[in-house]
Amino acid sequence: MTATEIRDTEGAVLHLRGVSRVHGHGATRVHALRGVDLTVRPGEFVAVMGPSGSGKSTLLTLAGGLDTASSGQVRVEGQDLGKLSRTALSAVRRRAIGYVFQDFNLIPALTAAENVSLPRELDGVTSRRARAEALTALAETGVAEYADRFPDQLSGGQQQRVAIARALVGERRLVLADEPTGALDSAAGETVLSVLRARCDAGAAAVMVTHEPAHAQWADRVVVLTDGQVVEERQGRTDAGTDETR
Amino acid sequence: MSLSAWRAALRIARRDALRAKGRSALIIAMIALPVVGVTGADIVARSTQLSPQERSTRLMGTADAYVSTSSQPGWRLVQGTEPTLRNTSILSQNGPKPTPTPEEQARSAQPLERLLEQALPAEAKLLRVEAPNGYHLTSTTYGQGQVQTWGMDLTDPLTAGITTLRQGSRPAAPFEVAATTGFLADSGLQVGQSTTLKGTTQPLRITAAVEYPGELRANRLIGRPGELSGLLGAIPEEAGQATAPGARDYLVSLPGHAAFSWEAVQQANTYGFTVASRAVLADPPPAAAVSSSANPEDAQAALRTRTIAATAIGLALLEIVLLAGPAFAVGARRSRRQLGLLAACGGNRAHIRRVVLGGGIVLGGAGALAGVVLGGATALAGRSWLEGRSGARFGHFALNPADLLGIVAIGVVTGLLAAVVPAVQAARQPVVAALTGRVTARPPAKWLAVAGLLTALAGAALALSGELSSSGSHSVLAGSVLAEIGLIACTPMLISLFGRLGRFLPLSPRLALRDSARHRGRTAPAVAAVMAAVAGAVAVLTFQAGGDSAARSAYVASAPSGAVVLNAYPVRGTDPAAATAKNAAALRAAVEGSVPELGQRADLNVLTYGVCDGTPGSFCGRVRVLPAPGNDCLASAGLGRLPSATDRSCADTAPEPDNIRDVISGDGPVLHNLLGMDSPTATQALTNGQVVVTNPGYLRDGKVTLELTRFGASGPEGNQVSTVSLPGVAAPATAQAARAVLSPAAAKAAGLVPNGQESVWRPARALTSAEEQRTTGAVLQAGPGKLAVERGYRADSSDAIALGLAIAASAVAIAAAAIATGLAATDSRGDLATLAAVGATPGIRRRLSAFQCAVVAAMGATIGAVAGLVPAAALQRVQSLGFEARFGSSGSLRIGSNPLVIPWPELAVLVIGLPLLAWLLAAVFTRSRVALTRRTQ
Repeated sequence: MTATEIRDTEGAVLHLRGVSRVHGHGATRVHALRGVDLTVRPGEFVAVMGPSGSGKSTLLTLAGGLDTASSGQVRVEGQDLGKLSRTALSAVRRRAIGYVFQDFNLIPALTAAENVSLPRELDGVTSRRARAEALTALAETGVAEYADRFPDQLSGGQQQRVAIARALVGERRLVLADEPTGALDSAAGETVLSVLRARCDAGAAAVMVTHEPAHAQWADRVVVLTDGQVVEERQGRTDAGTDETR
Repeated sequence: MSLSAWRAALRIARRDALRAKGRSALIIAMIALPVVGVTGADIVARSTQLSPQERSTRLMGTADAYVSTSSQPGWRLVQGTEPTLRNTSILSQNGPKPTPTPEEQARSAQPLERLLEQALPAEAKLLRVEAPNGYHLTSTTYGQGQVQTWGMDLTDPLTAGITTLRQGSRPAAPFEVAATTGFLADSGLQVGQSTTLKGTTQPLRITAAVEYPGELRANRLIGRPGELSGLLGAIPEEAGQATAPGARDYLVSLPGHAAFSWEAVQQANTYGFTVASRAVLADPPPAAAVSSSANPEDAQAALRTRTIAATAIGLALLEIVLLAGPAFAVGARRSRRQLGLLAACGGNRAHIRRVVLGGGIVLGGAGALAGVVLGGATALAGRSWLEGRSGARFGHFALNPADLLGIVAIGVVTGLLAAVVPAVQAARQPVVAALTGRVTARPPAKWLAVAGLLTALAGAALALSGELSSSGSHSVLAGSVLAEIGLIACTPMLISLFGRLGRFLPLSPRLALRDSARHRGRTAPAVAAVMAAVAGAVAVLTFQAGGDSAARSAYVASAPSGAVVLNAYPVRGTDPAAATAKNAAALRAAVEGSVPELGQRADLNVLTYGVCDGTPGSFCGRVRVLPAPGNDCLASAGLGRLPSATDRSCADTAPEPDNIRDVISGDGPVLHNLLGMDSPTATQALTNGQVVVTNPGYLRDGKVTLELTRFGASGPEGNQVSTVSLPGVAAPATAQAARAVLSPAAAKAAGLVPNGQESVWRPARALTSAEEQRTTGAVLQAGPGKLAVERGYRADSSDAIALGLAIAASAVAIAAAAIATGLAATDSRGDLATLAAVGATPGIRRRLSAFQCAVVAAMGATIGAVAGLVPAAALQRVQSLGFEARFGSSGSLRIGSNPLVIPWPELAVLVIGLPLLAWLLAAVFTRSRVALTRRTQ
């Protein structure tokens, strides 16, 4: 890493450098990602776009430490994920990274508050403190009044806002969202995106996979992947239509 | 792992259990059912174990001791702390016939009252108890019934607790009696009615219904002391009733309820009395102070029972673990995405394992608690039924907290163990695969199969090498369980091997087999559960088949099949011969009057040497047929052949059933009726005064040798043995009911005397059960005698046990196969949608499910049939060791050690019938509609 690069990545929440992922062997060998570089700083909202099979979801799983890169380096909050044990990776996911999936994000057997406090409880924080932190996170995403409801008693939009609260509970400040509005109607989708935008404005960092150009407009930056390579990187967040929903 | 994380895991497990109510109820039921059984058994076992105080009260009421007079009052004896016939022996100077010391002779000449005064502590108060000596006939609503007569003053406070008054009032006036509830039920009599003992005319009014708490089925009449014995003593002896007075027993109370010490017991022993003392029962002396030791055979039998029970319980627990395992695997599979989410939230493998294990703890705990409560409630509700079945009242309703906690713990551990493998599997799956629902099939681990095979072999070796000792009893259990676990470890590899058969099968079975082989994670536990169920059934069936086969080969028919045998008991009196003949004639008339067309009657007598009745000039003796030299057991054992009970050449060494007659006298029809011998030569020979034998081994140079023994008065050394050789013939017999037959004239000439009188008929058709009962009733009323209808060897309960086991094994196997099939159906929705898309008919789903169910059942049954033979062979060995311990293992005699018999028909039913049944049920109950696929929670 050169001096310039080190300067560039200082204070970055997520930094990918030359990351490749190869699935399978021989004839079934597939290059999901080819030498991808990406840096995300606090307060930054990055949208990842691209056609099906372009490697968007693979990028997210590598960034979250759910999968391991074939080559290159993934750093979260300065920690090289490739050098961590399985247990340490779990700890990073508990303390530094939050996930939001397209649907079925929440554990059906737990209430909204319990879902949010889960990473903290797994981390050994007392139930009372974990619940207090969960209520704060739920208030920040605007769903505090649903704290004691079970997932099947919440609408899709409410479930996604609970999921964002869980992704950011405690010290965590990196949200990895895989099509978070894919299963929602447009109004609910907009609300979820506005919450995500607001959390980033408050200091969190977010990487969102989407194939809706309109949704990408909420991001500060849009990265376009094709065949596992970054083919385009442009500014997001046009002035039109976003201010009133913020 | 922190407490908070544990709490979170248990919370998810608990809520999941509540959400999946059907699956949770199934698992809880699976764990609760055996716990109900074990709890019930524990409560019954504890409740029937009487405290010393309860034992004393049942025996002696409120008295301090129960004293019995031995057959030789005045002669010294030794007894155990609780005297029984087994642990009491009259001491003697030498030999089997005790010779008293001059001092003992002097004592025995004294009257009993005087002896009691010397034997018991001063100031002891005595209450006489007349214990019965055999059964008497008495009038009932239906005719005559058998009853024991007791003489005891039930109004005396000392007898309180020996009986429980159920109805009426205790007999207080002359010729009032109390009857046991057992007798009233059998006789149809009620309190207030009367009964008359056979041979007497005095009606006895029943004023009370009582029960003996320890003997609920006892048939007894309890009169005031002296009354019933007086009536029976006055009966003329020709009437044929056993009239000897009962043993002379006493309830003893000491002033101020002083303790009847062990020293006092030993003092009473010196004078020929046995004493059961309340104080000694409560606080027994050290074993070293008791000269009469416990019976070692009892300890051996208890050990065998414990071994068999422990093996059965251990295998049952393994079965629950295996059966509940797939249910947990289903749960873990269904919540795969949820567990993936947990991992995405930062849960590590331990966290995920804890969630699945938490399910085991929650459901195991719920099942165990429900089982213990239900078991306790069942035992409480069924108390009187249980007491009736066991024939004794509980001492008290015993709930032992330590036992119950232990049982709950076993239930929880069972649930936990069942969840272990699914937990490990769930924790191992890659997070991305769990989140996306992608499942990758991996080849089975070779090391696991090799380790499993080695474990199975080691387990089998351990089980089969088990010795009959306290540690050996565990080795059978440990070995059997180890062998099964080894085979379970091999199942993934075996399933994979089975999968290769797929290419030879049509579409539906091919798909089912390949699918099962690919998804070994869900197939293996289900196959293992079927395997364990079938193995358990095969083990018991094989063990039982061995016992049955041994019993069958040891069975000796008392007559040809269908024959009716009447045994008229000897009657004593002034002219015993005339009385016995009169009784026999009455009995024969009763039989022939009850069933017409019995055919020709054959009368026979069992022959003895000498008449042992104490009349002047009489002597006691014995006659037996000597095998010809070279025909004894040692000769055949030397040829490497094991003798059996039916091998006549071993007649002198093999233990024999009671019903084989040695030497009998009779006419030609006896040969046909009793022995099934239809040789004209034999009939002619009998008429000519020759001896007819059933085994040529008794014949040498055309002669049969009879050994006549006249017993000496002072022991075996004084015996006079002589032999007599008579001309004889041997002829084949269908029933080995007697060794040698002589004509009455030849018997008399040989100096033999007829003893028992028997008659045999061979009716053209076998008696119906109703006819047999009617005839038995007629015989019972006519006089002392016994009727038997020879129906060949009949296994008592084996058919019912086999049927019950087959049903239980089938139910378990079907349940396991159904669980696996349900899981497969959930997993293969995508495949089915694809099949439907390429034009498969709707019935494909039904056929696929049917074959999936059958495949699991077939694989499990096949492996289980092989696995079950290990514990069966091991238990068979423990049984055989038990016999060797009893008969000595030094010689070649191995009678009683059961052979290993494989029950082929039952095996065929399990291995072929079970998969067919599973196939049929799944085909009937599977919906054929293919659901649209959608990602599910």
